[in-house]
Amino acid sequence: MATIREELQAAVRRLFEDDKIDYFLGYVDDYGHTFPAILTKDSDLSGLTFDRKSYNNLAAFLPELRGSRLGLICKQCEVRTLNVLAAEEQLEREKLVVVGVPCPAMIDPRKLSADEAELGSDDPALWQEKCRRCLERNTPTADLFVGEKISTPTPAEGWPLLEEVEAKPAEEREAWWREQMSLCIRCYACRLACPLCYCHQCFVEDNKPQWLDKSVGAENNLHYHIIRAIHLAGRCIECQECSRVCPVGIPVDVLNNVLSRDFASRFGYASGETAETKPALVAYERDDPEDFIL
Amino acid sequence: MSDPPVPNESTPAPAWEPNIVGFLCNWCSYAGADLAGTSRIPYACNVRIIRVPCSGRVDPLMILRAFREGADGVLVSGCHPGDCHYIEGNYYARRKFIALKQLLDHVGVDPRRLRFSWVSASEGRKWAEVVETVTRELLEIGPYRYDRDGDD
Amino acid sequence: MDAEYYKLSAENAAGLFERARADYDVVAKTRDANGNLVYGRPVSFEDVAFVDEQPPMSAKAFALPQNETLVRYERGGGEIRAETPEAPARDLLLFGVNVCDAAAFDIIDRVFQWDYLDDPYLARRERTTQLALACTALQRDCFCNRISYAEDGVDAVAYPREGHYLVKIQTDNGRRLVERYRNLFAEADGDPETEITSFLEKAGTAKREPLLETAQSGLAGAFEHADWEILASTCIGCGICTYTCPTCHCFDIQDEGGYVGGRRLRTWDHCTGRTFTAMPAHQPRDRQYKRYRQRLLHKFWYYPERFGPVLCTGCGRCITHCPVKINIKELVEYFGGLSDAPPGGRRHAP
Repeated sequence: MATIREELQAAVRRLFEDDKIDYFLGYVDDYGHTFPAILTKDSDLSGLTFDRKSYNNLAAFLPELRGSRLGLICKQCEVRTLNVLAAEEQLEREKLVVVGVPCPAMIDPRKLSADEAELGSDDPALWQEKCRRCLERNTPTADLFVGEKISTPTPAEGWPLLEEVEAKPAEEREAWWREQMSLCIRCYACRLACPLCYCHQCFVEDNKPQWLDKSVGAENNLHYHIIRAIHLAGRCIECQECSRVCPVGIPVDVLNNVLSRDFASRFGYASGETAETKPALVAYERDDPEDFIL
Repeated sequence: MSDPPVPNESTPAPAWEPNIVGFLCNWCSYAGADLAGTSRIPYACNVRIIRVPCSGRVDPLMILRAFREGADGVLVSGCHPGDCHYIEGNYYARRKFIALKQLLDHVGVDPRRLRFSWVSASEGRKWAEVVETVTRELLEIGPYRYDRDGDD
Repeated sequence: MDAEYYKLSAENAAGLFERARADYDVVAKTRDANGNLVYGRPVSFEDVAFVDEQPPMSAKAFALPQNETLVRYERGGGEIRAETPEAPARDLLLFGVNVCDAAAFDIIDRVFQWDYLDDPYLARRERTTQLALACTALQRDCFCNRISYAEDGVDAVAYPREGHYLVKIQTDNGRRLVERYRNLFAEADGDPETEITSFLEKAGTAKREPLLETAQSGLAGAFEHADWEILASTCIGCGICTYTCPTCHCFDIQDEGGYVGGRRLRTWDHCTGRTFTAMPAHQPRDRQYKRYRQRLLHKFWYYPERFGPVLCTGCGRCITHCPVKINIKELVEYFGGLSDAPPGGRRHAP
């Protein structure tokens, strides 16, 4: 039986041969890493793969390739992202060939030991948190599905890390966040890895007026992260790329989760489930809660 | 900046006064504050008012910038729901404020530092009461100082 | 100076740490509140982590902090007062840092005193002594074995042996450290140079095919290479590679404050970002792959051409922490003509 790797390579080769696409956005592996790659019809496809280290949300590269006919691998994270992008009219869906794959769940890179023995394990404790909450591990919106469909385990409820932080009393929680924020070096990888942070100019780059000081420090960093989370309120699809890419290990997605959970409970809102739902901040109900208003 | 006052019945005037930045919509709350003035209603003079076209104009960035510039509290006030000059600006604002408030609560900022109110052009007295409440609460919790290690 | 060799017993290493804390601001590997490895200021020898693994952030911040106030001003009473912050009061000892981190200082010293003397940097640098710890094995992403320069400028390097360290002193600064605590160090016996050579061979960190000598001429002809676009276009333009890099040293000058007071400061900046140099003029590199190319060529072509060493110590952080795992070593090899296979098999249309 062909491996997913072989099937994928064959499928992509056909897409190029039939002139269906100009670029293919997928993952290749080399020098011990699996990483995103933009492939053309002249590329050697032998590196193309899909494994448990295919972390990146490939939808983050769509703005770079706007206007091209594009094939891309979509796991559930990308599927949800595309839904939000469609709702926000940012997607040229007719130019995309969505290649579906059975997603085996990604192994949390922070739990990988040097020999990467964890890659062969099916222990959900080793997965990224999002994978334990995943609702669908095959790509329902695929134009082309590669590999064999797999069953989706019952999704886990809740946000363990968020709940752990929340269990702290307010003062301790403040101290904890201040500590985390003081680690931040404001490389903005969390913003740039995010497929939904597609603004041409980000508020952190504004200097007339300059809303955010460029110097790092717990308060400036906190303000950056709060605004980032608000700009993703009701949009974040919880792919956890922001946290994964953080070089100093700040779980920044906890802030996004605060809003995801809150918006789900207050407004019955789940981001990225359909391509029709408007993001929560560009909608309102007349009877939205306002118990906090004097 | 001086230390927060020690609550003491015999202290006539607190040594420290909170700085409050108020973002008021042009059509209701700003007029309400104006009415409080022309009606000679006395209230705490701690709020520095910034007039904005609508509470929907108030970006969470402005609120955080106010804190960064040394505000101890921020008060945002607009038209009552249904009364917005732009029909629905305050409805959108309300959702934004829910998000900001949730996050500030989560990271441990005292919720009393960021308050929202609906004050109409005819509610001069309500405006005075809102400012009194917010000022009193801030006097209780003292100056706002997030870790300022970014300063050096 | 000629290298000198000493023995430092494991017991005396602890003694050195304790005694040095009285005389120096001692920085070493330790764990932060999240359990992550960092360069910090452990208060006891037990808190010092002796591991090959690198902290995500290099040690450069101790000479070139991410924020550095250059001048502070205050207005009041009819006048404006301005003051320059004072230089650090204590000497700094980088204790047991990775060789790749320690080696970086000597490389970037050149740019900070090439013409204009950068006072804040040089003031910190002058007070810095490095006692680096050699790694016992090459890690997945690092390639110091391919950088010919990596160890030469380090004050002192300790090589872990059975029950003791073999310490190689390479500079006057390093000699001062030994003299200060002379009774903790013993003369090295045997043939220390051979011992070190075999240590490096075993660790895999011995030099081979250095990238500078072999790739520089190839890179000089590769500026217009068509594959840059394909190989570097996944770069997302974050600052991870440059901020974690021990040798990247670009900065921006910012003014903060207003009428009553404020400061002018410099902060790290990065050539891979889309707003780099936008403040005085514009970002001349309009596509992301060109910004990545700038970083790579600056390190392996422009800098050595001007200053001698490559602007890289082979620490590999820019690979480990890169969100899209762009591999600078593989790209240098490919564009420098040492390899025909582009990373991941990607190639541009001929």
